[in-house]
Amino acid sequence: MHPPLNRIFAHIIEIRNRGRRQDISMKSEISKNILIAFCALIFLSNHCFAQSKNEIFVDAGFLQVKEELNQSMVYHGLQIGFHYRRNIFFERWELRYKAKAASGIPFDRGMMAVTVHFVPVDFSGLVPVYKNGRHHLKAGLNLAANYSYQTYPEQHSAHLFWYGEIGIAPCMEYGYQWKKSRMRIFLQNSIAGFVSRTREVTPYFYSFEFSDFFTQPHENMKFGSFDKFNHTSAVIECTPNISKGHSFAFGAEYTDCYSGNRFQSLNYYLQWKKAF
Amino acid sequence: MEKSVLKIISFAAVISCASLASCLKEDSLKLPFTTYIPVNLNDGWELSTPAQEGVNEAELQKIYRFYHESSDLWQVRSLLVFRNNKLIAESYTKNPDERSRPVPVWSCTKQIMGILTGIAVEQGFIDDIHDHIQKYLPEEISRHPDKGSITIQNLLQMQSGIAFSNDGFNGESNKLLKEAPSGSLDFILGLPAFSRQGEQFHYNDGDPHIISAILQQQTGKTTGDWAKEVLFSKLGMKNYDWAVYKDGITMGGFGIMATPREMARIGSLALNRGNWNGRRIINPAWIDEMTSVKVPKEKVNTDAVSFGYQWWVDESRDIFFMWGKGGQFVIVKPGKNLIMATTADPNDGNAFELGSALNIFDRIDHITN
Repeated sequence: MHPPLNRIFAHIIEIRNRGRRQDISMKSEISKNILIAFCALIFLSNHCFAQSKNEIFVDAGFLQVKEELNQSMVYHGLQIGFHYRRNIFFERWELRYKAKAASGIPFDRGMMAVTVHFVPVDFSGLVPVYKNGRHHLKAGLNLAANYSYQTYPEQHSAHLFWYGEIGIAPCMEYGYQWKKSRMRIFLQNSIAGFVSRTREVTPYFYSFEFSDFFTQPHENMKFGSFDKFNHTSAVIECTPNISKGHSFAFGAEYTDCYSGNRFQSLNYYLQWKKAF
Repeated sequence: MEKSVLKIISFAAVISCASLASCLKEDSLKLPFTTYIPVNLNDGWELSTPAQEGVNEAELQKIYRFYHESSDLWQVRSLLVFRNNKLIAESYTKNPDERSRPVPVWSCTKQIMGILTGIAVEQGFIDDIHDHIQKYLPEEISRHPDKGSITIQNLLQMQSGIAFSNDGFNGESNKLLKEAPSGSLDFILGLPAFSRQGEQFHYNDGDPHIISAILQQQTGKTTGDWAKEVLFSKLGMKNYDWAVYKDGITMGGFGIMATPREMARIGSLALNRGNWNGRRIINPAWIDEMTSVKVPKEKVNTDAVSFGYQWWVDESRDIFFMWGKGGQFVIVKPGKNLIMATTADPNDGNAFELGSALNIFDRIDHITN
């Protein structure tokens, strides 16, 4: 190869990397601040509020994902999820913080995909709007950051497909209690937020760095409402004996992003919860 | 209380079962078959009908219908048939825009490297294909002296002996696709040898990439730029792109994006022994050499086909062909002036492979007089 060509290529690569480094550095700073604020909130909640409750969840579900960039083929299979939730009770209202990590191995036509669903921040604020004997109804607002990653190793090598969503959603909870048992139904549907989607699949060269896992789902975020995405969550939970703290639930979570290349996921799951 | 709990659990179970029936629906992966009549794009291809060129129309329609409707062939994207240097049928199963939108044709790039090597020999950039690569890459070989005695012919026949693997996550092809090595040529030449050069056939992306580096060294241009000058522009090819590694070397083992119409021009050039529309592009003797058996099928050990100079050869069918990962084919039968071109979505689990492509080709061949 000719030396001048070498120099031109080296220069182009340096410019590209410099821009990338600055971009990553800024995003890392923002992420660091969010993490500090979040830790402070959790710490304060332990010390400043009289009542709080921790819960852990394990669920197993039937996951389906449909990715337009993958010919809109529907992959389906098992997804296992782990959640942690902290409920903080104020005089009138309740604040819930939840974090979730789930991973699935869906298949289509004998080919395997790997999915990861990561929710680092999920806050719900609920206030009672109706209470009559055994019945109660709460309503509120949810703020959550959802990140969903998919890879289709047998079709697209190591390409990472993502869906990032930072949005708010009205939510409501109906509860019915009898003797020592309780049933709750929780519904939530997105109303507005920012979404980010994989824009294209590069045909040949593709590299992935660990930092891309964090930076890519924040790239090219678009604000919108029902014109961009819809995220619905519904859970029916049964607690056989409230004093023992075990609960069982059936839930469904549906995500549909039509900002850019369409992405849909649907997960039906059975869940076990332990409060402590 | 227990009864109530049981009721709730039963209710949840019923909902679960009902939910499983409510699934995301897969859209049809292929368009329904409508017609195979080609569209005139004024791109240099003369159009004709199957009947005029001696191909049974009713049977050809059945083949196209099968191609569109077979659920086993969910990966295929296009099927084009050329007879007597005329396009007589074409159809796109996923998106008609692919008539003019390039798609990755993966290892079909190798067959173009075979043609370019012949042009380089004819134009004096390569003195003799029996030359050692040390003659053309002295600086690189000084760092990897054990590879110096590999000949250009070894590279053309996939017999360099370099342990370059196309397969798997840790394969060398994957490392190049990730652009992990800073220099592609040093990376390939630095790999260990698994046999002496010229002894064993080992299909890989590394050997043609070394040829690309030699062409760049000798012509003073990137292989892509030089190919445009001496080949693509002469064939009227416009809908294509060729990937360049970050060190500036045009990819030799894969990297071309093109429409099937453009790929068929390469097939037609080979069919007409180096002539395109009556104009001589390359020495006919090179085409004859390139498409004749250099490595017999017993040594190739892949789908019972042989290998020429970067071209695949099936003597039993009297054909030679271009073959790219996952279903990119240009199959040429000189005896019948027949060419079939296909594109498909590559995958490692359920691909449109050679056997399926040859099955379609045999059916077309059978209805061609």
